[in-house]
Amino acid sequence: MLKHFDKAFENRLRLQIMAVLTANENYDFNSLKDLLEVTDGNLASHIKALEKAGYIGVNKAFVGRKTRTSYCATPAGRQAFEKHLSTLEELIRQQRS
Amino acid sequence: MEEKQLQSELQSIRHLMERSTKFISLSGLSGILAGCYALLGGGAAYYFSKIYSQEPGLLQIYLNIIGILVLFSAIGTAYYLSNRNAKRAGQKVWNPASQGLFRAMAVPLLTGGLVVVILLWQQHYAFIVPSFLIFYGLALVAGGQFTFRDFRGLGYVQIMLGLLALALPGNDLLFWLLGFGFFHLLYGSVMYFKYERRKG
Repeated sequence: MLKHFDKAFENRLRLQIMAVLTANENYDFNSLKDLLEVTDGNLASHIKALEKAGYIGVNKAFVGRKTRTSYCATPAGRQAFEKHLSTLEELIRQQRS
Repeated sequence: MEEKQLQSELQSIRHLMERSTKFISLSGLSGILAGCYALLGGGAAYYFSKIYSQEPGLLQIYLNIIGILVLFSAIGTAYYLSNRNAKRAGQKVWNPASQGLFRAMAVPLLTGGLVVVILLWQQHYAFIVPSFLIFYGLALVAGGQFTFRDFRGLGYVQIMLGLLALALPGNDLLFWLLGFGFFHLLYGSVMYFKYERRKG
């Protein structure tokens, strides 16, 4: 059963990032940082990993002179996240019976 | 992993998804206070309409001032208390969820505001309170997806009261007191006891 778990979601923070991005159309870096209460570096490295897996996409836009970086879940990312959640649910059901 | 651990993990993920899309710092207390302002404003309006019944022009100006005062005190209080709630929860009041709430409500509210200004200008005074209620209700319904579910319920009530006020002319003050006063108090109290007091 555990082999069905997605390697990309082994880390808790990555799963949390993915949860926020599937629930929203897009979410920007700073809001994500505030919501999850993590450091810049920590968040950035896990975002990179998810990006590499092809689960999230990046958007950079200029707001005045600052860049605003926002992220969105790709269809593959959404699918993987939903699969991961249903695997979790399945696991709970199995342990109950 | 143990079952309990798995379950709490799943729950925290679901909670996070909810928290990221909904602005949950919106204060119930501000609803109660908004209701109070509306009731006080309604009382003042009644009082002024007795005193200045001979001078409709002057009365209209006073009524407008009361309306604007009530509106801005309610908005100011809602901002102040929600900001305080957000700070307590260690969150920012201006987050993607509150931005969504603001954007969703802006169109019906601004449209309603313009409609009221036009009605004043064209001197269709009888339509002002019903329009206020209807557009305010629409704004609440539109904003409902970005905050507590109860928000939308309040919106439906305001729309219905607005339509009733339109169908039963001459009862503006009654519908104003019911919609902006009583139902705000009711909604605010429900929200306060349901979500805020529990957190202590």
